[in-house]
Amino acid sequence: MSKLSRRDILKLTSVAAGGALAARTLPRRLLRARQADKPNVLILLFDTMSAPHLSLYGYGRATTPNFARLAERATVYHAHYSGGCYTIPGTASILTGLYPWHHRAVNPGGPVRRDLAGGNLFRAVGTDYYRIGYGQNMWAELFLRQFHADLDLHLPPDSFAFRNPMLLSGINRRDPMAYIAFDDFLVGGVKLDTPYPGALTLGVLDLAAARGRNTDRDLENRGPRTTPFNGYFYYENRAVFDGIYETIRTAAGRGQPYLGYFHFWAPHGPYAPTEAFTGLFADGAKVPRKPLHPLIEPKTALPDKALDAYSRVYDQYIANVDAEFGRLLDRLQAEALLDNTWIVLLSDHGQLFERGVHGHSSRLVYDPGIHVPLLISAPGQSARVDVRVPTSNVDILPSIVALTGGQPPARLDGALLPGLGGAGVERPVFAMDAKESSAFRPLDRASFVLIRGAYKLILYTGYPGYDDLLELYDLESDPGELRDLAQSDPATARRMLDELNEARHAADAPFIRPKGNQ
Amino acid sequence: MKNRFPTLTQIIPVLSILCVLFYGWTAVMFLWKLSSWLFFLTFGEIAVLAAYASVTNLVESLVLLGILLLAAALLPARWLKDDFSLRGGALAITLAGSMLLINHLSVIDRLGPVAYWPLWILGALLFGMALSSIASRVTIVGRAIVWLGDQFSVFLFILLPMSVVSIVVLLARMLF
Repeated sequence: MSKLSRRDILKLTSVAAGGALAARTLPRRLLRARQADKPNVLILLFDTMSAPHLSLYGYGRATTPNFARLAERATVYHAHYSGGCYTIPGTASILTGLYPWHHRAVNPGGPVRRDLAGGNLFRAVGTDYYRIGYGQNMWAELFLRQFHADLDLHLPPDSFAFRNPMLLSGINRRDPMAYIAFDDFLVGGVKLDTPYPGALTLGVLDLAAARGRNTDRDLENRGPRTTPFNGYFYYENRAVFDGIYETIRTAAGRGQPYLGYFHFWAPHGPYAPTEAFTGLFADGAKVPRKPLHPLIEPKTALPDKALDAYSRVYDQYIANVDAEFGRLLDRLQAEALLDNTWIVLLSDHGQLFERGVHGHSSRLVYDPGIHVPLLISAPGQSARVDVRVPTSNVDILPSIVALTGGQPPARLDGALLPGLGGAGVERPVFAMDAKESSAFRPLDRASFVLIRGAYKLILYTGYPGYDDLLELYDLESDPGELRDLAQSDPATARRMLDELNEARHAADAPFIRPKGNQ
Repeated sequence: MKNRFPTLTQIIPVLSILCVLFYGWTAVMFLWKLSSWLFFLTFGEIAVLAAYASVTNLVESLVLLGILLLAAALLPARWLKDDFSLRGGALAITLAGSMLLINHLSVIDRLGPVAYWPLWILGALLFGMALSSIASRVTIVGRAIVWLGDQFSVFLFILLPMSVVSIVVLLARMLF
């Protein structure tokens, strides 16, 4: 074997160095090439947006002209339902693809079951994506904290807002317990269980800060309206949408596909439309008059006149939010930032203005409380597609994972949405409210819904002082849920009740403790 | 400089009163919330909440004590420093009591606008000073405050180690 010359050694060295460099950069190039094929996904979630109040779905007041504009090049889901009727179960169902009886985020402030938290949307889409999470609702923020490790950008809830120095959970943004400890307990916050703060000094400081904010010069001269407030901090919708626009613009410029989950507080109450919207809808329209429900105490029931007034301001606020959405859409389109982007527009739950109830914290699960909007616009889509079969927010995760080429979690209740590869066949859709049940026990005090085709079955069970109540409605002929068919069509009621009971008992099975260990 | 501050034996009873009031209030509120937390939090998570609460109570007790010590150092010695365990104890009770009152008035919607707050603070200070003055003149009141401070000192043996453990727990959660 001949000796290697100095020239040979130099050649070999340069080849080896080049090979090493290529070996280092090739996976990155391959990764970038793989990423370049992937579309962006922009999820815009409007908290407490009831589909029956959107003109997009035929509501009498022109609340959503800009949603309608997007609908012209989107798939519009007409019978879309949330998993629960308030933020905790509703949002958890979107982010896990599971019904509340599986993810167990059923109580106010309760997290997703710990062993299922790894099956969240952000982990499922994978690390090819730049994953952004923003929850202006502190309960949505609770889940983002739970899934913090799977986020690349976790925006604080008071981003783009008037800062509240008393929002102490910012001390440790990774920790869901920091929110519950400080903002829900020590400082005060939601005050669901006790009106008093857990720490005397923090309570006083929060009062001082809150009163200071109320008289802040920045908040003056805003006309005859209140400033939007989420229970923790004040903000302006325009500033929030501007902030989201900047966030999207920055993400789009990274050269990596992004998944943006933006959970807006509006149009959640307190409704605070800007001056341009406060005069709208002076049409004297009334909310549908419906009988008081047996589960609602007559002394707590609101009169219809009050519901009319609330409904009008709610509609104004939806129109306000719709206008901000339209502005955001136009700005993003003008800069060609949506060219390779799926837009998903939805809500976590609806809002009731009937049967003496205003809001979404009662036990009632009528359609305005759980029927929510869903629009999905594909990149380059130019025509409208209407889907009328019942679908659920649990279908969001599997559908987005399919779009992004991610890895779906092992446990899923949802399926691919029709229009995104789903079959579009009739299947059961469930919704529930179990805030009075323990997350660690069978959900034996709860309101359950099963929707199958045009039929909707409601079961109110386990409420102390009340017998189990069963209601059946044909939503096609009776969208207002005024004619209960449970007595006149017992066969359908029985069949649907059996299906509901089978599903809920299967979900409850892991939580039934052996006798003697109760 | 050291002479401007009260001695440790005078400081500890005041710290005891502050700790018992702040930790005690939080413990009552904690028990109030516990029934709902048991619905959706594990015992480990509830223990973490207790750790957050414990550290917060320690901080608020030390901050209030610091304010009283600063006042003792700045004011003429006979106003506060010389009889710190008694006068400081009276002020500690007044401060915690006024905070409780403010929170309660807010809950029943009787707390005035923010413009009244300086009046509130002035009123609380005047009341505190009056109480400390009465305590130094009326023997039974003075004895009661000093007795409370002494008796409460035993709780420091529980509360302070608990807070130190809590600090370690929370630091570990932040770091890992």
